[in-house]
Amino acid sequence: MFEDFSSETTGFLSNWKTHKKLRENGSQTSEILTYEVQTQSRKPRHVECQTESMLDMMMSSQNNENENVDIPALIQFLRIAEPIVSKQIKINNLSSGLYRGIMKAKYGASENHIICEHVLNDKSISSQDSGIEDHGFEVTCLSWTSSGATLAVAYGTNENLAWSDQRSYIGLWNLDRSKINPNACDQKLELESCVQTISCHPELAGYIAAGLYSGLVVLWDLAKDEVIYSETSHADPVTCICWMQSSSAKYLEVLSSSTDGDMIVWKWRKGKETEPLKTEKHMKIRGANLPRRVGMKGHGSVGITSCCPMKGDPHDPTQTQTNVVAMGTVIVGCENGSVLKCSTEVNDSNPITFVYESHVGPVYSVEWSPFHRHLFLTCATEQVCRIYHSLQASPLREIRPEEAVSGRSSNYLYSAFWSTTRPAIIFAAGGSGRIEACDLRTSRCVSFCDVTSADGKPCSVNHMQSNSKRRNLFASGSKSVHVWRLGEGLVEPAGNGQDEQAAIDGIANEAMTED
Amino acid sequence: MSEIEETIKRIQSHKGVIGIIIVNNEGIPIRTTLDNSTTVQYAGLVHQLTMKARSTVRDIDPQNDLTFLRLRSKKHEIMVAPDKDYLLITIQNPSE
Repeated sequence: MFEDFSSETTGFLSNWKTHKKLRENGSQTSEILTYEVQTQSRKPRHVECQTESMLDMMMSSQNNENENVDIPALIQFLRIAEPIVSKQIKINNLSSGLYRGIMKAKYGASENHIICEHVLNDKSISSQDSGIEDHGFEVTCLSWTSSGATLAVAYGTNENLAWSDQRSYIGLWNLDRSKINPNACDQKLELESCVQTISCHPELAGYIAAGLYSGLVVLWDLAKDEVIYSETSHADPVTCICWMQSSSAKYLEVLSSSTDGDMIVWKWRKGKETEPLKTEKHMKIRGANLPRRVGMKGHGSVGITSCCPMKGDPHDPTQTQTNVVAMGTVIVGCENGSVLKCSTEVNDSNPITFVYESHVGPVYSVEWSPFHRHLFLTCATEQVCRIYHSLQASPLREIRPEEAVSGRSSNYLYSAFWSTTRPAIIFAAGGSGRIEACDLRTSRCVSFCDVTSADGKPCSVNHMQSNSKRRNLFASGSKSVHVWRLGEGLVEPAGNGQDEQAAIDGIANEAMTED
Repeated sequence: MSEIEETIKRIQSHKGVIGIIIVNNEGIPIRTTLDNSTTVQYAGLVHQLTMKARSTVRDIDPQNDLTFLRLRSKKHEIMVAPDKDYLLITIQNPSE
């Protein structure tokens, strides 16, 4: 029934496809023509030139005395020029009284404001949960670098109650950058423990020392982006870290203090990132070494909350003799309120050389005056700042910021510093969030500003630092960092600052004339 | 030689004079009563300023020339007596 069927194929021609025609063609660029020509110099002439710095030229002209100077012409010139100049000098001296009034009116000390220039808050850090309820990261410490343009900020938390593994950060902000981003820092370093204190090297750029909650001291070398740890650690959190003047240029020396009463001087050889910070000296403040009037009972150690080494000024000619003594002198503030003068140069482990009258609460801030080498400022939680003379035990002045006088709450003072330009001005701030500038001559507040958080509530200021290179700026750290600009009146002292310097000298001399 | 030193001392002895510097026509200080770094700084800056001031005066009137330049600031006054080859810079603090 079924058979195989095969059909033939059928096809049809396309009516749109055409046969493509091909043709080959070629082209060739013409030959590139080259010419060869040679030249040869026959008589060379040797000429050199060298720029010299003006200092070198001045020195060489001084050494060669009168090689470049045509003496008779110089004498002739001076004969003509001197009378003109002398006449003008005399006119100036006579009319000096005239200008003073105009100058004072024009540039008068009326600008005493403190204006907030920047509010810096790194969102990536502050939004992180620090692990402790209700408290995010806050600024524990800050430090300006040697150039005064960059601010190093330590983010951590002061609310640690027990041993904690809390991470923390050091952030850097460069204020000179045109697009300063207030919400993100320029460089960030993460550390495994809470950073309690940091300090930038006052002369060399690029070295930041930090003290951690775990008792370790770290050194951050910014150029190589390396972190160098100390070989041992304190038993308690590090409370204060300062750079010391190193005896040799190859080493860096750092002094750290902590609440276990230890003061350790660390030494590090520059350039050796593989070597940890080595302990150079280890000193302990013991209760037994303090005199009985301090009221310290028992033989335990006394925790240190702040320290400040004396900075010898190499340019001050009056200090050349006493500089030997001054090296290694450190003022230490303790958590029981004692204020001690210690020396890192003593050989036994008790560094105390002099004991001052104590505060009632822990001393959080100590600073030597930049204008008088014997005066220093301390501030403690009992809401007073004291000025001491380094050779006398009782304080010369006690200043109570107006806050306390008017009875506001939570007035502990956490930070105080001297003005870098006016000898008689100090700044103090604390728990109330108000930064006050006080004049030592009148013991009254000259100006103040309030630190408020983003929602307008005052927040406690943890640390402040003045900028030694840009004298009209200072920074305060609380929950975020505020950079403040001082008005003209607070930066420029009236009349060259001589009255203020005289006032400071007068205060210092009171110490010598009493009893 | 000593006349130069005498003249310098005489100017220095006036009230309020902080220092004097004598600069040659290349801007190199040849005599000074201040320390080296301050001298170098003043010499370079004041020399440039004097050249600019002189060229300003001469551009306005080519037959005119700069005779004396005083720069008064908050803290002191800088006086410059220019010459073809030298500059005498005096710094005075008049309010002392």
